[in-house]
Amino acid sequence: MNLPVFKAICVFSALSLGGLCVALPSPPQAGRKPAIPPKTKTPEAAKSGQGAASGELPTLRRLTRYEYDRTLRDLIGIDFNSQNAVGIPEETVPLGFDNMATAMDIAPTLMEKYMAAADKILERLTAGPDGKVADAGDDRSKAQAAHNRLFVVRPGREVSGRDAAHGDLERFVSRAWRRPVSEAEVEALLKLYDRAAARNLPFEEAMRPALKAVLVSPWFLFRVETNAPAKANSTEPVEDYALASRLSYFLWSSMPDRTLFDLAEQKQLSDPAVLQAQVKRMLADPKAHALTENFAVQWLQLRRLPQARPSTDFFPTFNSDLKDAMFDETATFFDKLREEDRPVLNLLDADYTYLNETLAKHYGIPNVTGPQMRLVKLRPEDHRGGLLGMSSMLALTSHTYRTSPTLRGKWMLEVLFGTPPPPPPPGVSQIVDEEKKQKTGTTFRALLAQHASQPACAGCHARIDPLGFAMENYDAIGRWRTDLGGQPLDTKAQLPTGEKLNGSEELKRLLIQRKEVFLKNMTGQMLSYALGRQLQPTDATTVNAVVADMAQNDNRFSVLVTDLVMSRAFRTRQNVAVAAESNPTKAAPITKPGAARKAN
Amino acid sequence: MGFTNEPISRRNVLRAAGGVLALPFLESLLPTRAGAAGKVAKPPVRMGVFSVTGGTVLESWRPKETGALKKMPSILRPLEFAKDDVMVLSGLSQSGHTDNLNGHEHCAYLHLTGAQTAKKEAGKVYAGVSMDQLAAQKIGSQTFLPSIEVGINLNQYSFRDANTPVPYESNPRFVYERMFRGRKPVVPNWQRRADAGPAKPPKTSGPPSDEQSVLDLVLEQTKDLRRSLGYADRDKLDGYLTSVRSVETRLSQLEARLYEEVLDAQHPGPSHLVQPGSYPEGIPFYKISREVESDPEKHGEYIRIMADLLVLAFQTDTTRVAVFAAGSDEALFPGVVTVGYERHCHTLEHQGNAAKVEEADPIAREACRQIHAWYTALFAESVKKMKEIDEGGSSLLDNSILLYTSYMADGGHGVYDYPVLLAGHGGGSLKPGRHLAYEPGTPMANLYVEMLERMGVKADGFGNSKTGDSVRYNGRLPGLV
Repeated sequence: MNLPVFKAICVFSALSLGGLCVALPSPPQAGRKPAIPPKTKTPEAAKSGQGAASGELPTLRRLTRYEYDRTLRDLIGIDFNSQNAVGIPEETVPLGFDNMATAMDIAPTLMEKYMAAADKILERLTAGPDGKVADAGDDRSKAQAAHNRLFVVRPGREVSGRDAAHGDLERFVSRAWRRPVSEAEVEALLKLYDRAAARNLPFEEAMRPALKAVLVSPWFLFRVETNAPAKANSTEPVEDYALASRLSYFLWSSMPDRTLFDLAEQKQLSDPAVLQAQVKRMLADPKAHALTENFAVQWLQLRRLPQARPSTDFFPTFNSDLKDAMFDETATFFDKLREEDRPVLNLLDADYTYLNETLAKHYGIPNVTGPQMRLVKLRPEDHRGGLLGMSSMLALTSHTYRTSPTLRGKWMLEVLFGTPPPPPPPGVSQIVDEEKKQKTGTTFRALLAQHASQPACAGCHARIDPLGFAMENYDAIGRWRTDLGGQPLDTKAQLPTGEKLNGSEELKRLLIQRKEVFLKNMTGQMLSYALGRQLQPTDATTVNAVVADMAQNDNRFSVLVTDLVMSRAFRTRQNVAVAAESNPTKAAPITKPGAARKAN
Repeated sequence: MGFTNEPISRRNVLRAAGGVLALPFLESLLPTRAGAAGKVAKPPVRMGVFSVTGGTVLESWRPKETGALKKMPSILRPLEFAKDDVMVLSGLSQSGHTDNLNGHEHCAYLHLTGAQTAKKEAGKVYAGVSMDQLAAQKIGSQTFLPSIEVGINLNQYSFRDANTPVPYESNPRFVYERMFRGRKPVVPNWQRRADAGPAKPPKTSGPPSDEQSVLDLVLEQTKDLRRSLGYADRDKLDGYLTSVRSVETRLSQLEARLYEEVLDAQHPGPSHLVQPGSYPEGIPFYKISREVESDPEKHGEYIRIMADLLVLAFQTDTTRVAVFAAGSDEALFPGVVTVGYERHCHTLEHQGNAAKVEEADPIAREACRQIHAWYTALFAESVKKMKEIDEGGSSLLDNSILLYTSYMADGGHGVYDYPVLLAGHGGGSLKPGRHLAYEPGTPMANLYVEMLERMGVKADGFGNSKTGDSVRYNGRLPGLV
């Protein structure tokens, strides 16, 4: 039985938390029926005692929308925004990251969209009799280049249409499916070409059904790791092609490139020295920006920033320019951790950040002009440095007209420590309105304290709120303030451990004292993202080993990533028994994705 | 620019249909059946759910008296003109338990499933099949699309089965494209269809279309792949397999349906096509949601156009089952809300609700009332349009059941005493014009049993109608007709 990441983390980090973060079991709910029973086994599974009930996890992962677009970009060479073109939606994320295998479905409507997307892409690539692709606006030259890469072999006097189709298809399909393909598989696709060609369609149009079949095939839409039936129920090294995909989707959110395919073909990728060198190469590649865009943005919850609640009625400067700058500060900060291989603890505290003029003005930091983000050295009186001083986090946890110590505390527990508090019990009353409290002369903080003293609420609020109270010097859009409309600010807080602290600087120091909690959480989050599943208690070994090694290496970003890739969890897989039917015997592979690229 | 800025020629239709129609229709071959006259055609019953966010303000929603509807309460006042076409049901509730869900998810997962238990666990969701999807599974094969689910749904209402949520289409343009890919909007002539019986399209003995061959090959690949997978992965792949099959089924039925439409186009009935307004092309989703959430005018336009698309879907018999998740808890309502200073819907929902109504902030509660009256006015526009569409002796509204409700009973994540209004006569299976009050705690699932039955889906029980903590009326709702 696997646990959500936070529970697993707490299992092995609770001791070092000193009460700041404690695994919070859901409160017992009187009169509740037992939870839904585990899914019943399939008849075959029940017979053989295997199946989902024995804790087998799905490993088949559909490409997320983000991965799908980037894979098409790298496979074909055109930019394709599937959300705008055909409405492929962002994944709904039940828990954790959007790439969790358990949550990935293909609804019929989604399948229709994949078909429509393939049509739209191929339409852009098909050229007229003059060999020129139809006008595709700004992307025309890209589309032309992509066309020329796709259709290499042309039918002519020497080459029959079918031979040309064979050549083009086998090169394309092995890259699209990220593995060697058999002659039988190519032949099956060629039958589609034959049918279309029999209607005397021009060559490129006749190729469309086959190309479309490649792009809507499960081999393209899913990341597949097959099982070796002879070694059922054992932990086996991930085979080289699958490892190439694991690596490229972890670091690039896209398909492997030619180098990776070559190494897989030569069965060298699984060699530890080779693998390490590849991680280094890939981290330096601009494609690794995906770690920021995909991993960090989800982990830090930045996707919610555009919908942050503070309204321009109360905060006239909180417009989309400022929101974009806030987003960019955090994204750039994370991106530079990777590019410059800095210590990841800089996320907790740093004497630098990245600003443009808009954001510098917002922070009251002088001498920054122009729209581009650049490195800015911070002074203590700037009250910035690290995630806690970034207005992105401060704004996305605020209400329309005020800060929310509870939401800030919750963000810290969730994001920095991986220990989200459980949702409030149903039917709790809300804090009464701001106006009312002003009438009665009670401060918001007093009201919150009153609310938090209700027995149903006290347990969690005692953990959540103090973290937010300490951050009260930042207003709802992250500006530094020293009073509350003339009223004094109260930034004092007491942790459940009894420790007292005052203000964000003290909170930061406290976090740094307990940096191991943060490091374990960040490592766990990234491991979960890399594996596309939630962590299990056994993953604690991996996390602990990585954190120990990072400590020896200044907690550098590259050490974190490399250690995760080199971990057993990343390089091995559970070989499960295949279902009762026999495994199809595949013809010997003939085309390798790496070889295919060379032919280009 | 409207949806149909590109005139759809028949050639386009045929081509877009993926060459399904290997032979052109020869118009001289069309059967020219003299109306065998006799009975008046009875168009099919359509079922739509128009579910707004944010619960409601019950004291301004529920009529004071039961029985015949008199003066409508303020939130429902925009429906005054249709008083004889709508009925208010009160007392309906959810009693399901959930685990590891926040307040909004709690309500959303129970909303259309009537589930007794729901939760998130290990990255997976558990609820139950939702009523719209059950209807789609049972009767969806009779139309071009089994069902449509639209709106900016930040939560999750529809489930194909206990752990398969159904995505909602948020871009109106894609809703339209999906409905009319390979065909153009034609209004069925129900009388002609009834008189002629199911049309037999001319034999097209040609080979399967390219599209079908692509799907056949993909199905083969999937079956091969399936054999090398473990049980958990097989489960995943089977979802994909189901989806490919459903696309294939649709394709294989396309031809016969297009044929009916060609006949209808030649022999039009009394009904005139009501085209939806326009929606710009190529507008990215984040822009749609940003606009909708910040500007009530755009928000209203968006709701109007989506609702029009549902009306169009029903009128053209593209589907008989539709769910529209209208509104957004995250939206701002300047101009709609004219009291106090808060404009953020979610904040207002919380401030306007409390354990006891009298403890809630009255200004925020008034703001919520204004928001819901605004929603009703938009819903009323659809009701009016459907009332005006003549299907041959009966209106589209006569032949429909529209459920106007919210996924929460009130803005405080309430699940007791939902706002429930049915519009339409369900083809004579409802007797509107009344307020029926049911025992407190009567499951919403009972209503779903009644609606499903009127759609031709026999369900002895649905959700927790017969198994929950508060079984009432033996799982039914007496007195609807």
